[in-house]
Amino acid sequence: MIYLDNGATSFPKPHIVHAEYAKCMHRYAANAGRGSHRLSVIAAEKIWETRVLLAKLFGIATPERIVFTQNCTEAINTGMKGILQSGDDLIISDMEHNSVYRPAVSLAGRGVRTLLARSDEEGMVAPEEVLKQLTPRTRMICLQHASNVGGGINNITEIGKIAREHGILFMVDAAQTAGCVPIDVEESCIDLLAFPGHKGLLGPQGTGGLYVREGLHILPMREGGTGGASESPLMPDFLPDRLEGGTVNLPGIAGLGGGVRFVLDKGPENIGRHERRLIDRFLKNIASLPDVRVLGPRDVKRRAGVVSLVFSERDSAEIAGILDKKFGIAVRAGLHCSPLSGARFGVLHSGSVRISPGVFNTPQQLDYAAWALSEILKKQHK
Amino acid sequence: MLIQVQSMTDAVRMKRHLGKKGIRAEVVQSPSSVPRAGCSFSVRVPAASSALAENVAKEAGIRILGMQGSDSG
Repeated sequence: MIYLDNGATSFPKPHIVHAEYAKCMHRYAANAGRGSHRLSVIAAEKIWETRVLLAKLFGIATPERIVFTQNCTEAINTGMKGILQSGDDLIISDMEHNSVYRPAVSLAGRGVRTLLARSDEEGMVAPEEVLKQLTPRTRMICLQHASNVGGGINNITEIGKIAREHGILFMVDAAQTAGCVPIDVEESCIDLLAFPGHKGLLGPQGTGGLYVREGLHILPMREGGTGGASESPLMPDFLPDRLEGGTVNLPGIAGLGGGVRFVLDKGPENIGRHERRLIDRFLKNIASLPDVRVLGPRDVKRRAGVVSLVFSERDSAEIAGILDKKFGIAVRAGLHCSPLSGARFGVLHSGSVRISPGVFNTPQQLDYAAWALSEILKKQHK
Repeated sequence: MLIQVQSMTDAVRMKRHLGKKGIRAEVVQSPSSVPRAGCSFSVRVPAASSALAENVAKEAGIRILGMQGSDSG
C-alpha cells in the first residue's frame, strides 16, 4: 500500500515513536502526578520532556504553557470556548476546517459573532482581508496556517502582527503545518497555537496540544482531578494543570516525544521541502491529464504537503476508490471536513481527491500515483 | 528540606533544574505536616542546598508554596 493520506494522519511513524510508546507501556505506564512513587515520577518526567521538545520546536520559552489535548480540534475548542464571551467578535477565514468553523458557529448561541475573512482564488487569506473584518469588538482571530484542501500556507506572521497591533488574540490552527513548516510563536505573535500530535509531528493518534501565551486565562472545558491542589473545589489557576483535568494520554505523549525528536533531527523545513518536491513532481506528471483541476496555489513553494484534485467528469470518491482497490494507493476524497473551502473552490458537490505525501514517501511512489491516475482517466476517454 | 510546589510538573522542573547544578533532588508526596498537603508534591533537597533551590525556583518561575524541615533525605 502506498499511503498518501498524511493530511489526515501520518503513517507510517518513525521507529522511535513505536519504541517510545512500547517502552512506556512496558516499563512505566503509571499515572503521572497521581502519586510520587517512582513510576509516577518517571511518567511525569517523560511528559515534561515532550513539553520541552515541543517548546523547542515552536520557539516557546515556557514549556509548562503547552497543554496536552487529544487532538487539534480539542485544542481549538479550548482556546475559543474558554476565552470568547457574549459580545465578542471572532474572525476566521472562508477556508477553515470544521474544527474552527463548527465551534465558531456554536459560539453564536453564546452571543459571539463570527466574521469571515475572504480568501483569494488559490484559497490564501491575505492580511488585508483580515484587516477588513476588524471591528471594535474583535477579540480573536483564529486562522489555519495552511489549508487542508488547497494546501496554501497563510502569512501568519503578518496577520499575527496585525492582531498584536490591535490588541487582538491570535490563535493559529497548525493542523497541516506543525512538523513540516517552521513555526515560531514569538516571531508570528501567536497567542494560542493549536496543533495535532498525530500528523506532521508523527506521534500516535489521540495526541495534540495547545500553547497558551503567558497571562492568558482560559476557562477549562472540563473539570476534574489534576493530582495536586486537591483540597480546592476549583480547577487550579496555573498551567498545565488547569486545562489537563483527568488522566492524560501518557503512552501517546511518550510516542509524540519520539516524533518531535525525529522532526527536530530532520528539521521541519527539510521535511516540508521534501513534501513540496514530491508534490511538484506529481503535479508535473499530471499536468497533461485532461479534465483535472488542481486546487490551491500554483506556486508549489506556497504549499504545505497537500494537493487536491477535481475531475470534471468523474466523482472524487470513485477515483479514490479505484486508486485504493486497483492500485493500492491510499488517498482521501470528499470535502475533507471543510465545507467552507469546498464552497470557496466551488466543489461542494463534487468534492476533491486529496493527495498528501509525508516524510517517508518517495518520488517513485508519487510517480506511480500519477501513472495510476492517468490510467484511470485514460479509460474514461477510450 | 522539603520544598512544596504547586504541581507535579513544577516538582519535575525543580528536580531537573537542580540536577543540572549537581544537586540530587527527589520528588515526594507532601506529608500531612505540610499545610494544604492534600495531594500536593514537594521536592526533597539537602538542607545545605535550600537557598540554591530557592534561587533556582525563582529563576525558573516555579512557585514555592512552603519549605519545611532540615532533613537532607
